[in-house]
Amino acid sequence: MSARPKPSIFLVGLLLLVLIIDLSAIEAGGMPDLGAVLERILLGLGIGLSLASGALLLITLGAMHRHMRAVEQILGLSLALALGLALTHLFGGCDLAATFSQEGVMLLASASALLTAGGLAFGLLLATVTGRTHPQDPLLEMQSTAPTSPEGRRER
Amino acid sequence: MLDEPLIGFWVPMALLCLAGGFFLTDRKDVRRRLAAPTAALALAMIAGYGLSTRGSGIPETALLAVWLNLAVPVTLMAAGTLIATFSGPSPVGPLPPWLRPGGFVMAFAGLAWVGVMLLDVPPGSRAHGIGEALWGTWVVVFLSAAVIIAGMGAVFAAVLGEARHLETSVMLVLAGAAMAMLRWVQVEGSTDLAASGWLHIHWHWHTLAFGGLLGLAIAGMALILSVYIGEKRMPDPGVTAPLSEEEKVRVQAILTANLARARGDGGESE
Repeated sequence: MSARPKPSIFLVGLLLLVLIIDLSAIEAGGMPDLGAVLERILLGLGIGLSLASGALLLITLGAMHRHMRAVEQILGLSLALALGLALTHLFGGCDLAATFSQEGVMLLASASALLTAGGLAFGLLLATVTGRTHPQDPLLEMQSTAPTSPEGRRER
Repeated sequence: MLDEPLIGFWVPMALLCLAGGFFLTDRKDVRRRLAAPTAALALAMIAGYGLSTRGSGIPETALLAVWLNLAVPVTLMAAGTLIATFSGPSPVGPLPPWLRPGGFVMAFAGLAWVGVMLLDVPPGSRAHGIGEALWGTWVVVFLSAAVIIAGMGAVFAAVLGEARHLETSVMLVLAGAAMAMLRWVQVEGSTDLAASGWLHIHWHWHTLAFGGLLGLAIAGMALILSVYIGEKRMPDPGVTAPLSEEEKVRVQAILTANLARARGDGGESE
């Protein structure tokens, strides 16, 4: 039996792959302005947080029922939405509608690309894992023995 | 009115979320029956918006055009992976031997289709402006995500043991093909967009998508945290009011009846 893999190997693999992609871009076009990159990441975080918490808030409102602890859920998601809008306002400028129209649409395109890539990779991995064939169990190929009587003697 | 992005695109998006919420309600709830009509109305509104603003440079319209352009390769990938997954060894009966390899070919043909789209002269909807940026972002995010997810899949298959060479090879081929395409657009560019344009997309839009992904994860954690706080604040079931005299009599009667029935059964079996 093989040893159980450590989770750190996946983290190292993930960081290595991200590094390879970014190093490839740096090698092709030079070092980017890191401050601007960080600002874009924070703007994306604000828009992503607003869109996702807004969508979750609408789903919560749509599925609300009397046995549900809805107040905490609505308050928590509203706070996340407010935080997202504040971040978007801070890094994207005053015109929130224009920022959402331009950058929000870009995030929706990115989300669809991410879903497609995830579906393709996980789908192929699942297909190869489930299609694995094993050699037949040798016990199944053995000739069956004659059944034994309740006293343990072989019946003839 | 439907040609306004707020009414024609964002309101239907909100309606789709509401429809998702309705779908999660109990089967007897009237809202459950409203889920499908609400989703259909939202999709019809989006289609109407797309038709009425066709050819304009509005970001929402450009997104719909890019999604429509990508419908064929994405369908190929989805159908290919589904066919490859469900045409494995079957206990019911033998399936055609070409079905499973055909699924793999379809999935990789979807990836190749995206490559051909990069070589081809693009239609007007994604040749310039926001349409071009949206198309470029989709390609860069798709290829980067394919490299990362397939690479992680290869590591996973390799460390799983039991000589999973086929699984590891398929994941490595996918990650390698996606990385080669990404590197190619970064160095050579595509038919309509120079390499510098692709690098701008990488640092300007790709980073935005990375931040968006973080935002999505934080929103998910906010939901989990608020549900956890709600559950923690639930009243303690231990401090419920004691039974009334009437309830006590009723419970006593039920217990006595059950006990008598159990004794009667035991007596019969003895």
